[in-house]
Amino acid sequence: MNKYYQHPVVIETLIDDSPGRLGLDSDNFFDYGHLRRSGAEIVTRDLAARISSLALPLKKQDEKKEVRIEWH
Amino acid sequence: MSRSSIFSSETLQLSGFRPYGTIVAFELLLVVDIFLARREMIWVFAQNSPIGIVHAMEGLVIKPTEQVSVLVLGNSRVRDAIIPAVLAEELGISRTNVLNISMTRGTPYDSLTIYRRNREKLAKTSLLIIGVEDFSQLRTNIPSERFRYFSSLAERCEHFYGEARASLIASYCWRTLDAYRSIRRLGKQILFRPNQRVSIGSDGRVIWRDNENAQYIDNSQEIAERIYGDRVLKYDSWALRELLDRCAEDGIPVLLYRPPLSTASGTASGAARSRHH
Repeated sequence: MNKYYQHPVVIETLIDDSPGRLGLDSDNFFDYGHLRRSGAEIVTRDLAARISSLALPLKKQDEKKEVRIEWH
Repeated sequence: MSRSSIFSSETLQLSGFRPYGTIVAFELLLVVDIFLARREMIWVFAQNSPIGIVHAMEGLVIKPTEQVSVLVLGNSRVRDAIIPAVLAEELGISRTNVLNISMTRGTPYDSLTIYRRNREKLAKTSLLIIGVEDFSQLRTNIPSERFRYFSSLAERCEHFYGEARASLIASYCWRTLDAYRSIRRLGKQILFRPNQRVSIGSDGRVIWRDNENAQYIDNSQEIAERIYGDRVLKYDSWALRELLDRCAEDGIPVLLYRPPLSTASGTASGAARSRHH
């Protein structure tokens, strides 16, 4: 493991080369490196679960102040 | 010897130094450098260029966002893998609190640049996810276009060597050397096609490929380059270290993340590594 991955500010290193763990197959990829939307949803939900397990205090925007943003 | 002789050396002698041509040439180079190469507009005119996309993301995505809870920085694999809306939904936070500013050919240096330029806002982030790749730890001596635009003189001297360092130092003084790609791109766009604007989706990510048929969208050729092609991305581990140091100063926890690869990727990435290193 590279020394920079062991920096004190790094709380977690998630490196997973095995698509099998998440049940991904070739249909979930554009090519060998880029995920399609279908694969990205699986990966993102898995990532969210791992973040949730870290129990970080994530700042939430005040709903009253929430502004709808359209980036188009 | 007759003056008409073709072997006479007299005809080669300067009758007097006339530097007018030299001065005119120097002035022309100076005009190009000051009024073209040093203008930000030249670099960002094409939104889908390496520099233009940084400015587009800053102006169209980061600036209008009030509160960033989870920030994602990385390359195109990370951009495609992490869907802000899904992540926000799963974490129970607002969709606009999650930003994925990953970009094609994004390196740790690019992530560091975005963080440095928008630190006031991004330092309030609750969690930073940084995309990492195996090849990000391989040192190369080829500066990227973004490095040529954003780097300081000290970074140019410290992180490159030989001809690359000499070129970077020279181009720090004579910006035309750095800007020639942007100038050429501007010329092409003026002459042959309208300005190529970058497409940003409703979740703040750059749209670069049709999700259904895997075709690149037609105006994104410059940002739609493959990672494991002939132009393997140039990463530098020092930039990652710098970014982590800044996050430590700002008290931001960092999660290093590498999205899964398909089973065919092992051979392809190995071949790319052996070809370039």
